[in-house]
Amino acid sequence: MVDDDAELEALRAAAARAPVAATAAALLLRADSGDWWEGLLRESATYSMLQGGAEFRAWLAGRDAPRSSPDPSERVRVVRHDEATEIVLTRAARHNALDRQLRDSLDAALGDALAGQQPVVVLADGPSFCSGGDLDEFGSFPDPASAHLIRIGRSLATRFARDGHRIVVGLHGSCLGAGIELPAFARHVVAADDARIGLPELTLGLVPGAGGTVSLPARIGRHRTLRLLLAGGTISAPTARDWGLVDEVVTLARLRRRCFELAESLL
Amino acid sequence: MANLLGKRYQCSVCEATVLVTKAGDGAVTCHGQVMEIAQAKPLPSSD
Repeated sequence: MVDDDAELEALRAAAARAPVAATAAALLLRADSGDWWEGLLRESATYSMLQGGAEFRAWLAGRDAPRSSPDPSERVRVVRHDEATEIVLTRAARHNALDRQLRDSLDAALGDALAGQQPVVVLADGPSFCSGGDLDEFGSFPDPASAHLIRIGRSLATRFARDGHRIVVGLHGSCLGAGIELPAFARHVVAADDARIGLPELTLGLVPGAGGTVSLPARIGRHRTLRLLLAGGTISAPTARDWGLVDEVVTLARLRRRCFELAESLL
Repeated sequence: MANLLGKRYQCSVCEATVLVTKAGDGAVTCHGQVMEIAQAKPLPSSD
């Protein structure tokens, strides 16, 4: 599954830097039962276990104190069109980093939109679709056991996994961590040609926590999922399309229009 | 103004809830009072 010996060596080195998380990830991906709910439970339990581990603690200790001040501005915008409900992430200045407020706002918006019959189109303002979990909040969970129940109880992954057949996502810019894990559940994933896609969790001593060990294997298989996770870097939109991680690549100017065309095909 | 699309409004007396599916002017009322926006309880970060 790797291109050459140099890539193999790079993956081996990455696994050696976070051997516990890398092994936990490999075990998770191997345990795939085809049942998304079981998969999400297993992933969250593993994630919480690693939150109590030495590799995550070491990453946290090497980080500066959070630099951003609280920002109460709206995190999502909802527009109801004839053919679909449009949900736009609006934390543009932070590349739509997923903080508590964005999690709760998106959860509520998806809950309301999916309670209806229409397809849902998810897009984002700013330079990126979503740069993943907000690093400023990492380490702020109450305790690993409670974090597991919070993650499962207010779960964007559950929203996407359960009703993904009615969701179209348009990606652009950075799509990292949750920024690809959630979209990968959707029926149609369209990427602008500037999209960069990756799973950075292993560098934090963690595994994906937004359903990525369920959604990515369903699209690209567990070997490529582990390869992306170990590599820690990003792949381009065309590579993601060749792998099947996204369904098509368009120009940024055409992204929104194409998502609505696909949403209409779901009606 | 109680008319924001996609928001839930709740009566503080009888806890009846309405979901706005089409935005418009005006306020929704119940038991003679303007209904307040209902929001899910904020939870801590799981990260």
